[in-house]
Amino acid sequence: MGPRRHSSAVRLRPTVVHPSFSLWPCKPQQVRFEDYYGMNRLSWYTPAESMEEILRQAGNVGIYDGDAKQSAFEQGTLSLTLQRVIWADSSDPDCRLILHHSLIDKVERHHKSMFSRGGKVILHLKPTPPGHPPGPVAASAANSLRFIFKSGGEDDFYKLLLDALSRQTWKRTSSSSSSAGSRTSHVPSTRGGGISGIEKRLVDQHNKTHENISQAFEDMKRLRMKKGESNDDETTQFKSYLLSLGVSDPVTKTTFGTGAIYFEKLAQEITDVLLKPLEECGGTMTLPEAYCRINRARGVHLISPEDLLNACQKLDAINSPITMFVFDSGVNVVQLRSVRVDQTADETAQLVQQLGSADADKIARHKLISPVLAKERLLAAEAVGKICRDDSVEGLFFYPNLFLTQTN
Amino acid sequence: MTADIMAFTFPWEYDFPPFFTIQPNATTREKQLESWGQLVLHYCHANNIFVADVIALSESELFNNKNIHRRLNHKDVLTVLDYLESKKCVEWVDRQKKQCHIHWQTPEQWAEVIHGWARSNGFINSVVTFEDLIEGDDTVQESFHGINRLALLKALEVLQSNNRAAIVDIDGVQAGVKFL
Repeated sequence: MGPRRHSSAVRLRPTVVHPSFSLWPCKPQQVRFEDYYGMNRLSWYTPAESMEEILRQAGNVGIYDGDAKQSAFEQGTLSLTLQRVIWADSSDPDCRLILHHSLIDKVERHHKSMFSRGGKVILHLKPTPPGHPPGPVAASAANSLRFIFKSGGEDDFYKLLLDALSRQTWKRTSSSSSSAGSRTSHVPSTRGGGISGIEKRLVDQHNKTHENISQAFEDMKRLRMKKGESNDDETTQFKSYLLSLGVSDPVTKTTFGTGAIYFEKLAQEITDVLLKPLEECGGTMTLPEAYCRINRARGVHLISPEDLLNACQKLDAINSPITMFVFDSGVNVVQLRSVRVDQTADETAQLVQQLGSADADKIARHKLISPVLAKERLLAAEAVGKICRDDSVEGLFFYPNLFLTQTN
Repeated sequence: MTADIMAFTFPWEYDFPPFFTIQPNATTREKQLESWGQLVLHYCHANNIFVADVIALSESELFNNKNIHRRLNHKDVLTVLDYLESKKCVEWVDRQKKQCHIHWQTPEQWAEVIHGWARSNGFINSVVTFEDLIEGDDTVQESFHGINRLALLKALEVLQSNNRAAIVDIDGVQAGVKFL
């Protein structure tokens, strides 16, 4: 029983080709994007800028997107250079794909097991940078690629790939693109055995990461400066997204600062967002629930839990129809002002009576509230003597308080 | 007067699972401990238990209802017994609280029983030693057989206070009583 195969899916190549790129000639064919998961970090092969020495080659390798079981690139030769990984289709040598090392975040290796077709090297990828040269598919759902080495060779490939990644030769500017020179100068820190070698490598790794991050931020800064104001088109689009999610004009720290006014405005926003959901779910919800709803509605400019807490404390100040309540156990909830605790205790006790006995889960299921809230209600009813508890290895259950109601 | 044969039945609380969890609500707990207290005393009375070993009692059906799979743990058994101590129905034998006297009758109640026995068996105007009262062959059938010395003394003091007995010293120690 194999997976369903579209007869057209196996040997297809997409037609998307950017006119400004020179490609090795490749037969364009029809493809449906929904047949693919997409491997958009791969690009069509272009010759390298400088001389590329192939460090390792492995035949009979397939490329698979994320966790996909099928691929259009199942049989090929994988080559490793200092800059990138190249895959050439065995049946169609003109069809070649490349993956630049700079797009690789981290690498994993899995040995061949009884159930797999071969040893695997899994590459976790960085997000597609803008201006990335096109490849087989435009959009990718997965953030990793699997290379399955059906004839072995994954061990060596993995080791050399790691080595190549650590050198980051592509970082060198074009002036030092001559491979020989750049390579030798980089060698010492990655060699060396024993603990000191490992430590040195860790320190180097750390420094490189730090460098990468600072560089990335430099680029971001430059990008932002270049962009300046976001243009009107984007702003209106953004605003329309927000509207569809429920927040028309998010209160942000940039507009109102972080003072009391900010929290009062935030409290108003919270009221607007939560009023209807509260009415629909019985009048009470825990603070984490409220937090999720608010941030989901905002989409961007998310608020922190502290902000939520501070804003909820202002609910009374703005005469909101909702208010925050703290149970004895410390659990915070927001609830409609109309909800009265004693009323809820009575309701809970009645439900326990109806059910004979109940634990938090049962109550939660009956009242369609969260188990946390159900527990709080049970504890509240117990505190006013309406129910009593049975605590055993079977769990914490509550019964009607017959101690006080049953006459002997 | 022969001992009353009490048909002992457990009260409704015994089959109520929450009975075996000491309640956090104060009002509920007060009621619960009251019920436990009565149950302990009735059970000990029915089984003539004067001195209880706490562990043995914990294992017994008194604190262990196999039908509903509930039991009071050791800490809670002590809570119940301490409650009874506060009501003067329990007296700890040792500091470690491993054994205790259970006074399921008040000294006044004992006084009546003992005096009744003395009357029925012709011991008025004679002296009976404490030993004979507690362990003698003449009292084997009696409910106070095996009673603890302190409880006996208290009962006899009650009788003494209303002139129905006089405690007698033997070799300088209170060791006997003359029923009047």
